[in-house]
Amino acid sequence: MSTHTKATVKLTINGQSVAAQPGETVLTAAQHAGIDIPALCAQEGMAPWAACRLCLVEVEGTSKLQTACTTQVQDGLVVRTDTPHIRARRESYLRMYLSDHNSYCEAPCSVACPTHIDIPAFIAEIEKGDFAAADAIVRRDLPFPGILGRICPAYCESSCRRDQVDEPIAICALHRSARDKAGAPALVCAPSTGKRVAVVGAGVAGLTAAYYLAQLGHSVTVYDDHDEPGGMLRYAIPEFRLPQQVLDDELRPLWEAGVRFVGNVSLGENISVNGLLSGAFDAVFLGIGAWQPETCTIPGAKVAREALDFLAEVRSGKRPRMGKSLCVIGDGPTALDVARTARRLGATVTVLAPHSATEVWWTDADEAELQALGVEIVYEAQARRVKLDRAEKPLAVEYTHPSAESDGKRGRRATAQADARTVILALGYTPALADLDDEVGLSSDQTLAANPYTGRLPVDGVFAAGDAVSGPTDAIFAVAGGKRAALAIDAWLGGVDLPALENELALYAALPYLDQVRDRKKLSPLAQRLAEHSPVWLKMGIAAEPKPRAKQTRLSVAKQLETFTEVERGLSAKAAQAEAARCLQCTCESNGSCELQRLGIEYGITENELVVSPKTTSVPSAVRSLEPDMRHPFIERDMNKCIACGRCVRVCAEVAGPACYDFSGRGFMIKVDTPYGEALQLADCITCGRCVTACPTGALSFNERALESFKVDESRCIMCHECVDVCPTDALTETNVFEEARKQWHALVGQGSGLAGGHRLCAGCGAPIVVRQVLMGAQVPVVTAAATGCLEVSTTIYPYTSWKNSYIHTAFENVAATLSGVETAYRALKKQGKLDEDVKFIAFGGDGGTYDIGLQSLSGAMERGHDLVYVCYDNEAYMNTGFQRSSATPLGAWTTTSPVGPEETGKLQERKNLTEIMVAHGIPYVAQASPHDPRDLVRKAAKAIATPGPAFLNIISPCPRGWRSDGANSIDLARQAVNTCYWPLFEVENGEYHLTYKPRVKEPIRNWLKRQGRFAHLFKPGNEHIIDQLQAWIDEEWEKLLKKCGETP
Amino acid sequence: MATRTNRHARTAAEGTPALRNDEPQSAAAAKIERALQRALRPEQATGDEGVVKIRVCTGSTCKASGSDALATAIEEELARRGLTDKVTVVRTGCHGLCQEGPIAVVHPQGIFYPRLKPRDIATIIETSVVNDGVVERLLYRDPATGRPISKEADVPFYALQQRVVRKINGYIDPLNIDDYLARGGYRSLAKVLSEGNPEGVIDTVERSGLRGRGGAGFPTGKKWRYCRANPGERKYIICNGDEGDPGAFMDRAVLEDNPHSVIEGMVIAAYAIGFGVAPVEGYVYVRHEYPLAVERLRHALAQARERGLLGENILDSGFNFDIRINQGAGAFVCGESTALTASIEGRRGMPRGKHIRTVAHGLWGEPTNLNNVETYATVPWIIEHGAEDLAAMGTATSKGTKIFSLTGKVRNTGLVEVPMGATLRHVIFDIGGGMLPGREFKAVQLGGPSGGCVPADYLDTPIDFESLTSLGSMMGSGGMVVVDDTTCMVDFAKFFLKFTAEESCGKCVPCRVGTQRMLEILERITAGEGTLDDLDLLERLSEDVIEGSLCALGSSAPNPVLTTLRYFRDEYVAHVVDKRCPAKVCQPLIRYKVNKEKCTGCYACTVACPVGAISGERKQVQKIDQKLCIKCDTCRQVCNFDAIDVETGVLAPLAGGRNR
Repeated sequence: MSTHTKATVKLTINGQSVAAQPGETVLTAAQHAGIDIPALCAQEGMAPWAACRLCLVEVEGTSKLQTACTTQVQDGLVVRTDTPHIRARRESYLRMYLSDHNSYCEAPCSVACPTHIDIPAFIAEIEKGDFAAADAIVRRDLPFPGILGRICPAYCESSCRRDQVDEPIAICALHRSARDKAGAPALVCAPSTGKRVAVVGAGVAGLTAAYYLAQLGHSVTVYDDHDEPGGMLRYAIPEFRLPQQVLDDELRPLWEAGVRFVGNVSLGENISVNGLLSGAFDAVFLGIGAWQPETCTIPGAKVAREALDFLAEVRSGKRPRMGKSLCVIGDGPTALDVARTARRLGATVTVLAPHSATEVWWTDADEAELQALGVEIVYEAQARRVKLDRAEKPLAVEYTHPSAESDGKRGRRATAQADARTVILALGYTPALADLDDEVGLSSDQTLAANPYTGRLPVDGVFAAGDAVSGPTDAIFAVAGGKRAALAIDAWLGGVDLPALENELALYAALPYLDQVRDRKKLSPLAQRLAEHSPVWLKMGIAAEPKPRAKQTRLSVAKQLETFTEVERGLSAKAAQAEAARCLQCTCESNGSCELQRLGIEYGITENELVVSPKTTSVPSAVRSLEPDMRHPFIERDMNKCIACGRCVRVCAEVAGPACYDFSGRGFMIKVDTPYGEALQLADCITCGRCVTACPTGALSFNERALESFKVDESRCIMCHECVDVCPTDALTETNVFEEARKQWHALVGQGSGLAGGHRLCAGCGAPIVVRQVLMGAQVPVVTAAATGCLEVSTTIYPYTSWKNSYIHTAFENVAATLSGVETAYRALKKQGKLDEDVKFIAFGGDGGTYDIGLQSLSGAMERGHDLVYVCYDNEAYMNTGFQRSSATPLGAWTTTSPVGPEETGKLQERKNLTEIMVAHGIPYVAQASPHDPRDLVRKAAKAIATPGPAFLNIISPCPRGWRSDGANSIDLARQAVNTCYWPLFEVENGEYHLTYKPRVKEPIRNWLKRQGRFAHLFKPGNEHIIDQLQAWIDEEWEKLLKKCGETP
Repeated sequence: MATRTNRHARTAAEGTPALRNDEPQSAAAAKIERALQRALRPEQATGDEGVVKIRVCTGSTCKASGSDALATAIEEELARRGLTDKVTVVRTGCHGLCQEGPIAVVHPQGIFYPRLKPRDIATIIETSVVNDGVVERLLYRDPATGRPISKEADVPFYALQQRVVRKINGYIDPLNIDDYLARGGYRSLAKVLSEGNPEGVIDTVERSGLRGRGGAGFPTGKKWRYCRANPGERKYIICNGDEGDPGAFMDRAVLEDNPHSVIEGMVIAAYAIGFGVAPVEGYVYVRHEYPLAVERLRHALAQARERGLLGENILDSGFNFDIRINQGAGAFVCGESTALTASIEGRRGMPRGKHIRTVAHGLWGEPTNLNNVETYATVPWIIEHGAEDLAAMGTATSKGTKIFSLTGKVRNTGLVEVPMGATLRHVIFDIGGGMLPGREFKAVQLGGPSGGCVPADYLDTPIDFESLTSLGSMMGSGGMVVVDDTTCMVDFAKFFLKFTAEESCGKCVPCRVGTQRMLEILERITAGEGTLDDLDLLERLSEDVIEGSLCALGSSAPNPVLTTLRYFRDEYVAHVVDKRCPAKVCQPLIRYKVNKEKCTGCYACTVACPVGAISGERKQVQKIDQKLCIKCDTCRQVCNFDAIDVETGVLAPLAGGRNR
């Protein structure tokens, strides 16, 4: 287009002068000028639709807002696209869109989990009942699901979106059940790298690091100052929360994979970092935890016991000496465990929590558990002193408390006291690092100064994670840190520049969210696993039937007080599957590329008053809730994400052509659907993918997995190139012979069809397809004739004909004879010089007219050697007259003359092998073909036509009526007949056999029979032998054929 | 698409009708006059005033109350008495006073008998037909004074109206073209055709000040002029009879009662717009829910064609124009012009952006003139009486008369035609007879679900396009729903919003999602779960929906909410703050209680309660179990002692859901 000859129009957008072409819209003019006007329904190349209302702009001189997509540019037009008024309207409409957007961009649970387990993925596996697959997914990021599934505080659950409907998914219990039901875990290691890594500290961080290091092929030795591995897991967490058996089972894979554990070794005493490095180890990981208790200075505190000692003693099976009453000072997890343990040991327990009920570490559920166990909790209690008896044994703990009444004297706070014959301190812990300062250096808060992404310490080759880095916190952070460090150690050993990587990750973490999503794929695989990002949580509508959250069965309180048996019993497989089914699967293929998401973030819609949860009202916001339609092999439609912008509807009808979609319903319930809700592939879909690329949200997406594993059935390929063009993953490319094959095929198709449409053959009939493909093989004019049969009566209804070439109407038994005569006449005329045109002759007959009635005339014609091609379209019975058996009817098939009843079960005889009979005539060319493979059929037809002298083609032709099959399946049935070797594709040229197609896998004939009603009775009890008989016959014939073709079986 | 191609193929074959300039105008006029005379069969008309006849209303409403049986009874009685030849029975279109149906009027006296039963017929014929008396007990009684009124003309409902469009509707048999012709029908068409000046017709219509009666009030003449001026291979004249407003039935009545007036108006429009420019085709788009209108219109079209008043060479003038009927499938939005044309084209009825104007690219992409039924029906009158006569009626900006369908809690429901500028009070109280006994006027909803509620303070507002808009309401197509103190305004607004939300086509988000969210807020308020913030949110959303919607359905849908918020905010506040429904309508906020003083223990309610929520000993005070009660109101209705009280307020338990 020569744009320079066109006059330009000058308009002003947001004060900026913009040049545009006449006829352009304000929207495109703005886009060309780099001014962003949001537009969800407008798309280049299509007429404006004006429905999304986001491109509304102010145009000077008009009172109402105008849609930029419909407003034509004019000289002097003054447009404003970004005033506060417009932005407020847009924001409101975006809220409306999002309030009806029943999906989510990214799973908040996975983001909230410090180890970033792919939670929706493993839950989906559990829903399917595949616990082993679920376990494998969890263990990609968390090596001990059985342990963390019991003790994790589950940050994932508190961010679960399901909470807006009823209760969060029981994610923690689910990954525990994945482990419990997946069988013994195994650690499969990469080939040895020859590198050795020392892990100091056999706690959560150290064991996690050891696990992934071993997996990556490194040789790992774990040192710990305890005699057994597990750290806090073994020595602080009580049996009734984490049975020792579970711990041992979870750690066993490590030892089985060759990780060495060396106990009773203390850092600073027996080993040192420098010693390890200068010795046999290439790298050292420090996971030494935080074991050093805070000191307590209140009077009398020296008689108090330290919580960790107490718990370790109990864990080791001893029963500590203690009084009838016990007081725990502290409100962390340790205090909680001490209280639970002490109650089991029979003491009355008071917990003096220094913080208020809202500040303490534990949750409402924990508090309820303590209360059920009969533990008294005093919040905001500041212990003042431990009262001692004369024997210097504790009597009580005196404490102040805001609600305790003041005695009114000098404004002093009144004190209260709790009986305590035993006092336990659980005030907090710090890492014991003093010795390490010289070796690795400490941060100002007396923790190890490890890099947050890699765990790298300032000393080369030394890495750290866990409580020693973070201070005491939940085990899940130690897992995350240990995993990161393991990956970083592996990278460092492989020569990766870690400081550069850390820089890259820090820069990435600072990017805006959408840039993070976009750039994630650009990161190296390692960086992708280490990267941290913080999504923007848009507030969207949710629709789900409220269902109760799965609850684990728990030991009764009475039993809890008696024993140390594990309290939570896990979920049954059924309960786990039901719970998994509650998951909303907050994932979206279009995360990062979704236009609605981009705008939602730009307009900051993290709160949305239009979304009202059913938990707060009897009239919750209605949200579309539809089953995703995954029936199309490549295009997935999840209409819960649809915003009814109509792009797919219009692009399919106006650009692609088939018009597969339209709106249905009205008002709020409007949806985009296929005609009658049929599967997309039944709605003329050409799988061009335009609808998916047009979709501004994730409502339409490619099933990338299916595309990646997509195999081209070369026999069906028509070289249209569409698959290569639309493949979003570049999984399909051309082969080197593609262009040539494509040209040939297109030349063939370009000839057009020799048989016009509008004939009266049934939908799904094989005959017209066969005829068309045969005629495609003819390069010269042909004279055709057809024996009486479906083809003849349906294509030549007087006074019309479907045949574009010369056609002779003849009788049932004599098509070969008729055409013999014509061919002779032609030869005579040619000889006399009255004709010089090359003409070929093709006779068509059904199996009745060929195998049976017309066999003598066919045999004669072949024997006489006329230059004609006889094509039998074999539909295996006299279909035209109402399904009578022919000698082509296979064994066991029902026809009206081979009925099914108590005496007889379909046809009693095997089918006649006519192709072999024709070969026996010694004619130059005989072939068998099938319409499912047009290239093969057309090639054979061309060969037959070009061959001087007689040629015979036997072509299978499915008949939906007589076969009692679905017309849509005809071509597929033909393919299956070939793949079962019931209908082998071969050709015989001058007596030489050649197999033209050999199935990769020979399908059993049952599969083919099963899809046809005429064989239905064979699947009734007592008739199996007929299938076996048929299979045996096929096997035998196939063997014979292979031999003739010189193929190995 | 195929239809469209064929259509164009036919255009080429027909060619464009040429102006017959070669013929002297007077000769052409004479020819047209001769054709008109040929079309007349005065002997087949049912006769005019002075003839002994009985007019039985067979409009849809009277039919529903049994007017067919009534007419049959009259005919049988006349046959029994051998009076069949002397007395004519005319099955006319709607008389307008639907409340009092079925109606019969006995001529020549013009005695008005409302609410008749077939058993009354013998008496009436004996008294008023055979003799010259009146049956006193069957007469209409003036609701104000209670005095019987015998003459139709004296009934205030009729006397105070000024009928232009509906002038002859109650007099003619809609199935008989001769009745229409006998009253001067199609003379306007003949006049227009004889004058041969299509532009002149447009001038006349423009001078009359006629504005579209469908709701928007666009000047009709101007629209015609644009449509004539816009180039196209063919032009289309569409009559919009897709009257979907709840409680509105003006168009239905015009199509049913006097279909020829619409046809004549359309032919005149077609002539004015297309003659000498391009071939013209006509469509009447009418709701499938109006079977009687379709039947009568179809009949009328056939008659008009047969008499040479429609089709090829109309009245020998050389002008060709025909009309086909297109039935809508029940979508309110198809009353919107672009959705309507899409629907005729066989596509989904969805409005399109207004950047393409129907008068330039309408049906099948050709210039299209779309007017309302009533607009077309007014046109013959303008031609007959002159532009000035219409312009003389009404206000400065709104000329002529307008038909309103008066419904709701008013004494005389029915069709009222008054000049523009009449006050609401005149229509509701003088013509409509005011409120039902003991009830108080609260508001009137004008203009259907897209209109707004006007409270008592504005009863003296003159009805014209501009003043109604300034009140937050609109003229609309003329629906007028009167409500009294038993109506909860929040519930009322919810009703209309629910209608528009359901009828939204779903194309644009403010209308599709915005109205739904507003509806949910209203539902929360009526369930006692609203907050004061919700009222502000409602207002904000209303503005968003009004400004952002693609078509008028969306941009007017919040009107009922906005006007009730504006005039009845206290009712909203009562629901939100006091959890009280002042009109005692919103179920979650009311509760039924037995009045201990009045209850006699008669068991009427106990037996009637469908859920067994009422119990008690016989002859003792009964008790209602609030947990079981479904608030169906049955007990109150069956109680003979007025002993069931309805309570509302904080005491009432808030059924279902927790308070937000």
